[in-house]
Amino acid sequence: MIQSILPSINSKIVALSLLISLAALITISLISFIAAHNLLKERVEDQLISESTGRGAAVRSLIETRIQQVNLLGTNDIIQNIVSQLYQNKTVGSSRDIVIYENNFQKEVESFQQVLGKSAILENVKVIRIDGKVLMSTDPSEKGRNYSDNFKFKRGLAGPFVYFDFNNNKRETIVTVPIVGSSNNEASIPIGVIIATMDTDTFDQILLNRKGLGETGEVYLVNQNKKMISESRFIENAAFRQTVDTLPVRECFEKGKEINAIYNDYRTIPIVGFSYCAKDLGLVLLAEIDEAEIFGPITQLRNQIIATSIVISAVVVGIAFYVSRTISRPIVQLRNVVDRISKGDYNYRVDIKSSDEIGHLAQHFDQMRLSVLETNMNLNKLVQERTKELTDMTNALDATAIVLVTDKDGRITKVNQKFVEISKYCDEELIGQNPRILKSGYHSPDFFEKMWKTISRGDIFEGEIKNKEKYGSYYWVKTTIVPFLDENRQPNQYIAIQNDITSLKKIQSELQEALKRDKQSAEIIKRHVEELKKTNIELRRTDKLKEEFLSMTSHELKTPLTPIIGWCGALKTPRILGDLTPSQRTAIDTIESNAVKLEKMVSDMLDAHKLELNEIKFNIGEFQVDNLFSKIKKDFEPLLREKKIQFIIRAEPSIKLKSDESRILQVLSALLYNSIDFVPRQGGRIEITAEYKENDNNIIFGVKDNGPGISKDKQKFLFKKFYQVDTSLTRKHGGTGLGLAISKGIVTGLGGNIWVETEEGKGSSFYFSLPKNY
Amino acid sequence: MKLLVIDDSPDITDLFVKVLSTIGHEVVATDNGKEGLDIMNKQKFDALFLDIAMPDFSGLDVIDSLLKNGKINDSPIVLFTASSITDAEVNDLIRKGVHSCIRKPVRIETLFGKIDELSHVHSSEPSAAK
Repeated sequence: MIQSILPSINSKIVALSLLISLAALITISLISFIAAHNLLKERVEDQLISESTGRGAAVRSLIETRIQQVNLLGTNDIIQNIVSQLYQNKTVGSSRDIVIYENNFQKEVESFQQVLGKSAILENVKVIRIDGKVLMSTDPSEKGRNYSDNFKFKRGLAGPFVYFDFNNNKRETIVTVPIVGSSNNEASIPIGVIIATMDTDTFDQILLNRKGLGETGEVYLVNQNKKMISESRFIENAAFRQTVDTLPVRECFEKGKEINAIYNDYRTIPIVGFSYCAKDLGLVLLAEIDEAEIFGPITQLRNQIIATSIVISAVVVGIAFYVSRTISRPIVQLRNVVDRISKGDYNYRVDIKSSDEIGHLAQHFDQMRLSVLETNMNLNKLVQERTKELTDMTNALDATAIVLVTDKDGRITKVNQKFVEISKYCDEELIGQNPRILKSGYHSPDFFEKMWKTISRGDIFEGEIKNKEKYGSYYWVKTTIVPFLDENRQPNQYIAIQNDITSLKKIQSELQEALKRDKQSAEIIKRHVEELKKTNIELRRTDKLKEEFLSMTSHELKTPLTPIIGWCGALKTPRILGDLTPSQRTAIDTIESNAVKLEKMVSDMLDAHKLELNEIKFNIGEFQVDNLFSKIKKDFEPLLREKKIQFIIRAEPSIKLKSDESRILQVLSALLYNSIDFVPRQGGRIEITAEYKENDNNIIFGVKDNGPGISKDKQKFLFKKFYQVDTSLTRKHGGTGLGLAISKGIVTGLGGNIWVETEEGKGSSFYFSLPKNY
Repeated sequence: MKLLVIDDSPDITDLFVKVLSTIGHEVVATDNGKEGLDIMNKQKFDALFLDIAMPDFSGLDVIDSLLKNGKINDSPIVLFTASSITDAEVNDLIRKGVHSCIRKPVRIETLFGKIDELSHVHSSEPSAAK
């Protein structure tokens, strides 16, 4: 389309320029042509009118001159006398008279010729009597001839006239004049006629002078018989042979009019002619020039104008073509770019470097192209990314799900490979069908009606559908149908995404079967569980009872110990109940120490129980190991002194500890009681130590004795509850066997470790480590 | 000092009365919490030794009553118990206004020490002796 427009811009500009130049040229040519034509015509007309009237007048005056001249002859006395004599006599006189007359006549004619000179040459002169008889003639043969019937004689009688004739291949001017008698009574009555025949040279001089008539102009005379009576310029011997029946001839002899016009002459060639009408003389004079000659310069001018026009037009066309090319070249370039862009090639630069509007247009166009290119590239990139995402998604969907697409009426338009695989129908069998062909008959019509209602109002349907494949097998799919809405929010297609849940359904139904089967067993189990629960509750109740029992026991045991120990103290205080004898005092001591032992056993039992239930709570505080050891010394010194056991306390000075002081005291006490029990009666020795280990930020307490030691096999049971190294009925060591177990529980609870280093016969060393900061 | 001892064990109240009166204190004793509250309504004491585990009306009930009638701070209360009450529970009671706790069985020296400590509280707070 663009290609067809652009050349037309070129041709339009060229055609327009041509049109304008031609119009101007034609107008100028016409004006000058008309002006030239008129000018020429005027000039020729002026020339011709002067020629025709001038020469016409000359011819007329010559004729009149001739008549006058011949009239002179007619009025000549001698001739009048001769005629008169002869007329009166009526008969020819004597022969002698006649000879005299003839001689006289001859003389008169000769003298008349002399008068005429060279202006006219008389060829014949005859005198005719009234009765038509030739009286005298310069041609003797004519003497005696009768002219009474001759029209020249008759015209001559009526009046003088000139007549041109053609005799013996010679043109002649015949002048006829009446002879009037000399006597008075005969004055007005002609008595004869003189007929003079002369040459036509003088007339020819008037007519054949072609000065001022150009190449083709001529002047000639035509008589009443429409015969040319003078010579033609073009045809030889035309006089009295050439008929001239042209417009001015007719106009003259029929209407007596003179004309000037362009008409065809006797040669049937167009001429410009003027007439001089002398109807009274029976003549018309015509002055004519060929039209072709007159307007020859105009034709030449026309040819020159045409030639010039062609040249000018060619130049104009050339310039116009060049200008239009300079205008259209950038447009063509732009068009090429537009062509490329329309074909998707945005990389073609517009290379127009002119500073006019087209240059600006090109510049703006190039900027537009670049921005479109950029936009296009971004768009392309985006489209590629989106397309890839979409393709990936579609591939993922196709790979994982059964996909079915229908139009708004539910006709299948697309299925994926998985759909074909599961339905066993091939593509061609499915496209255009309704998904109803997969109907299994399992679902009620209500189900599908509800589904259709949901999706046709634009909502998503989700459900499990049992379908029948081509060969009659059934399969289950979990289906999601998504309606795609058009701009009016009406569904225009539906996409169903399905997953095969046939095996799931199978497992489900098997599971249900199994569940049904196992229901009875389950119920039995349930009963068992319930029973177990009951037992458990019972056990817990028993536990609680046990706890309450222990708690109560400790209370009930401790309460009676209070007055026992209290009274022992009171008894040993002289200011309360007075002094005791030494043996009484020993007894009280024994009572007191046993009561304390009993109290300790009760406390141990309670602690052991608490350990078991993880109920021991610690009171954390900061204290000095020195102070702790002072308390130990105070508590144990009396007993150790009594048993004569050597007691050594060895501790690094000023060790600070953040822990539960009273519980540590309890552990050390338990270990000390143990050692006191096992050291030999004589030479017993116990050492307590405390040592700070910087590496672990630990304090290690030790209780060492020189007792019998413990065999390896028994060591591992040492920290078990109620364990006694000596289990024989005759054991010499008492205690509940809870001390070490409680100690281990406390040490562990405070974040430490307890262990023993011992060898049979070499004493025992109990250690426990505790973090410096609990 | 004038002391009230509430304990359901007559052996213990007997010990308190005989031992403490020999060293010059006036000791009133009862084996019943309710009766103890009645006595406290009638007389003022410099200290109260209160057993926790008592039938019908326990030491804790006595404390609740004193909290209710606003007399918890009238005289320092020393809990005197053999029950397995935990240290945390004791601390809770001290926050409510109880002075301290002695665990049974008690040595006579410990008891004397406590009396000594209370006499200092008594002398520093003369208003409480009224």
